[in-house]
Amino acid sequence: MKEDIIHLIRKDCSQLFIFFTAGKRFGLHLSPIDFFKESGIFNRNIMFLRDRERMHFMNGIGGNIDNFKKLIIHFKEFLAASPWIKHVYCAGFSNGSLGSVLAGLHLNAERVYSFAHRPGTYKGPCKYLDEQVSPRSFDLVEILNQQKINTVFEFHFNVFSKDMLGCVKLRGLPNVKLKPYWAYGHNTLLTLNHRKRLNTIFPKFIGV
Amino acid sequence: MTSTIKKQLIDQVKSVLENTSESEVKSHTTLVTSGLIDSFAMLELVAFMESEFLVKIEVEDIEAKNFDSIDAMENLIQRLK
Repeated sequence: MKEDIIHLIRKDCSQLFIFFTAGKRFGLHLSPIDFFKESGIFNRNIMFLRDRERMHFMNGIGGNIDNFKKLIIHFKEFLAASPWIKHVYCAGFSNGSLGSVLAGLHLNAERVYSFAHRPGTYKGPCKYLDEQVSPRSFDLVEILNQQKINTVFEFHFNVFSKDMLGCVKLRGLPNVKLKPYWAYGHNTLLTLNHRKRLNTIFPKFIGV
Repeated sequence: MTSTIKKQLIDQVKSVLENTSESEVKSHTTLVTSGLIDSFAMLELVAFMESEFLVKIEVEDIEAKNFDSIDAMENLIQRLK
């Protein structure tokens, strides 16, 4: 099995977006192409990841990248070989959100975009860096409550959903911005798409 | 005679598709409308075509009619070259 990662390279752009998707429909609730069309970021450097095991990327993305540590190494090696990239952003959807938050910290990303964050939904143990953990053991309040973090974390969620319960706990943490939407259910991206707001989320194109 | 572009595309489609026998992929095999490739696989093909054939595929070009067969993809590459 090969790694579930797609690299779209744009050498005229200094931004890299790393997308941590979730589930069969990627947690996007629209096709990746439609997501790129609506959000207006197809002209940026993009890494698009899929985690078939739905393990919050703790078991990597298949193939040779079979744990989170190797995934971070892959990102760092890619960045070292891509000197035109100066701005790194991570985005995660649903149970892909945890991976985007942790990767954002490791890569010192400028900003992390979490949509409909789902805290550890997988019960079993997995390996995070060199430790055996369960995704349930990740406490984002503890992880993000550090003054030394430069990364800004945006949590987008529908108010009338379970997602709100996890997100409101993050209120007031340094560098955390909550983006609630007055809507029902888990499909935050669908909310944004229906309201024609997907193209307002990500930063404008920055050339090299 | 199969063109080089066509041969590379066939090889890539075979690589993208899992659990599909080689004989199933012909230049005219419908890929998108038949459900043989999903949107992730389609994005993989976009990345492959851009890097291998040095073409810039605009997001507007990424629609079923341009990816529904090896022939259609070859036409797209020829048009963008």
